[in-house]
Amino acid sequence: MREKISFRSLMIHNEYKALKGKYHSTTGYLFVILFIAFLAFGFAKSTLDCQQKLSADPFSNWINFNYHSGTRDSLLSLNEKTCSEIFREKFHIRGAYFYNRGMVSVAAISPGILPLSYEARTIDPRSDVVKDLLKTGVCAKYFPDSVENGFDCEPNGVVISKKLLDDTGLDKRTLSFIGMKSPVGDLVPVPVLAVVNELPDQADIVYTSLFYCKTMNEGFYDRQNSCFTIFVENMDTSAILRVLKELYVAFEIRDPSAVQTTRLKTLNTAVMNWKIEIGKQENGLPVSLMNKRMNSMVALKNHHFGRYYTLSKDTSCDNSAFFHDYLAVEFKDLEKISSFSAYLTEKLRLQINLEVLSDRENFLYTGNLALGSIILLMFLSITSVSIYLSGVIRNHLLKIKKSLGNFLAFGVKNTTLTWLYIRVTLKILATALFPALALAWACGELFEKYLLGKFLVMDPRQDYFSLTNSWFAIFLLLILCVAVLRTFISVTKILKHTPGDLIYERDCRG
Amino acid sequence: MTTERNVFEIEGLECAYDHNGRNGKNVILRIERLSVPMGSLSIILGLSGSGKSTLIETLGLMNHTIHSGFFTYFHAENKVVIDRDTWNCPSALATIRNRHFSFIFQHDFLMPYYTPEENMLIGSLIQGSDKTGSRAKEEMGNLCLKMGLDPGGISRKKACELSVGQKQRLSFIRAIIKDYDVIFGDEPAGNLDELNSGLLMDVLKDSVHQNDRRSAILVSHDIPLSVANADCLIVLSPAAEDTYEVLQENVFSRTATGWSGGDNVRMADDQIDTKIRKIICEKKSLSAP
Repeated sequence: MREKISFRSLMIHNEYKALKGKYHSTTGYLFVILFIAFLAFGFAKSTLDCQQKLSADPFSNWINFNYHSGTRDSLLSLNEKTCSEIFREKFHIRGAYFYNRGMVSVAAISPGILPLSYEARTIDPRSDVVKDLLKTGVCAKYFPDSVENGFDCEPNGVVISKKLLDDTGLDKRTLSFIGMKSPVGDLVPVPVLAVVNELPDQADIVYTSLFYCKTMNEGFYDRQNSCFTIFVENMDTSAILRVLKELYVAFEIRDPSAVQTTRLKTLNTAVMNWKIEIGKQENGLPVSLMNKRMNSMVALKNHHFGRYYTLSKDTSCDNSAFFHDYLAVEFKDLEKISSFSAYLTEKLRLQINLEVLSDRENFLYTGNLALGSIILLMFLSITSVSIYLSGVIRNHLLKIKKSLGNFLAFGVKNTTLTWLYIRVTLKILATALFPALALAWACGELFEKYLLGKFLVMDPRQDYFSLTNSWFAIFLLLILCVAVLRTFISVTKILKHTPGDLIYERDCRG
Repeated sequence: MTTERNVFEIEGLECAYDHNGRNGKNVILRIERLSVPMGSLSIILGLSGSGKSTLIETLGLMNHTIHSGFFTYFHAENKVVIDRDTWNCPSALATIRNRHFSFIFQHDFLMPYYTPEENMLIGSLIQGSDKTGSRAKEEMGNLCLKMGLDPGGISRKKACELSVGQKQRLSFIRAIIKDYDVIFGDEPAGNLDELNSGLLMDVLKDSVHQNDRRSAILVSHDIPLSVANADCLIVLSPAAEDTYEVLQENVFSRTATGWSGGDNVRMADDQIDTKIRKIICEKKSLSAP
């Protein structure tokens, strides 16, 4: 016997031993229930997360209308109607925006790299889509380090997809510009505002309608500038001095004052970018030769560099000859999409692609189904754990109820016994819960890492098994609360009798 | 033995069970006036179903049986009046039981998977006593020896592995090892043979007489054992149908020369035995036990 014991410690120790069952049968059974529940929860929650991510994707709640002479009036009218808050509320519309789509040739600003064509689209810089684009989780990197201003900080900026970044081999940590091929064949450095995981319409590059409009006109960058300007990305001061030293020789510069080197302020403040302006010189080299020599400079090797052009700062554009390609209508949710479709057919003679509509509805339905399954799973797990545990405790208490009556006769208070059994319940639950949690986590992670890849093409951004979320915390808390509550009810049901009733079994109340 | 002080004084008490939330209507025990002397071993005698256990339950604050009347419990520091309303505060009653009372029943009510030592100590532990460690072990050992138990032998077993008699003696030790003022026993020797019953009574008397403030109130069917050991005999007699009562003249105290009844009649042990059997069966054509 231990030297110092108390009634509480003795009871907790012995009752735990009695309740855990022979060879841990009670805790073992609970362990199995919890393990299966946790494993299922981990996968189900991830499925739901995936569904919700897709459903919350600002670009999946869109319907695009082709803008052409046949639809022009209807779409203009629809666009006008969406300005009314009542109309927007009625059909759960968030906004409507005209936009254009097209192909642009882009590449990293480095010699010898051929630009490739990518899908581009325009965006209304004032629309909520921009905010959605720059939301954490969607946005992989936003250069001004704050996600409030969007295109305000750089109207000539572009947002590119992560796919484009990977294709061009650019590093998002050092990225400042991406080269966009102009109509006359120059690779114009365009400031990159952000890199996002996904862009609307599966585009790879997005810019404002204004910028798009400007690129339609000549002179959106200073092509006629008499200076030959070089852009060098991510270089420290000592390295740029070496560049200059080599540059004087390569460009046969006799007047050093013709060269002006300045640190180029870009959106990416984390790196040092440089602009080397070489003024026009007497008997200077022709531009083609300067280009050639710049490309072969040793000091510039392993750096992104190229010709630098200043983009026009105009905030207006002559768009008299400018046509939109589409009108995009964005919805808060798709609940009213059927009535919206009916409205369009009836009032504006516009048709929505029904296939898209049914896809959207199915998507919504499966999302709700996944949510329902998770709630059902939670309910079943909590119920089975609590029913099993309270059943074990109730049977045990009924077996020893005369002894409990004896304890009460000796002066133990009902509340003391109730709390003791709650503590024993928690101890049993903890004994089963922690190993079940650890095993479920290990199994889930291993399954995700080694087996899941054999069945599906895995998206590295997607978590296929997750137990680290608030839902799971709530789930655990509910298991504990319900188990405690059921124990409380079981114990108080027995202890509501007087000691005499328990000892002499005068239980007429059942 | 006579005492000047009483541990319980009962006034116009009627006992009934209050099951199903109804006020108990069938009074099963009526006591007009009764004083239980302090520092004595009092034994309640009566037929089965005469309300002996009810009286123990009532005085031991184990059940809500007071239909009307009240009783007063006197202890060293104070007195407590217990009536029907007192049961509205069960935690206060639990405190009184914890501090002053101890119990032993016909069945052991040991925790089957606890060790004998843990079972013996549990009453003290509930009381919050520091009777643990070597001192407790020694006291338990002595009591085991007195009760004819081998402390070394039983300590290697679980309570459920012991015989009925051993368990009953353990439950007796559990009751007397606790620091108590009143010990209530409902046929504590019911499961024991004659020899062990005698041992139990001897140890109990020793424990009660060790301290003036200690009293014992037992229920028994065994009239010879009661006459041989009690200081006070309380005999329940049949009153109306299904109701029993305690009359003042049916309470007997041990004197130096024999027994003295409430009507000041003095009797020897064999006379009181006959008298008790007569009282138990009077007013009804019952055969004497």
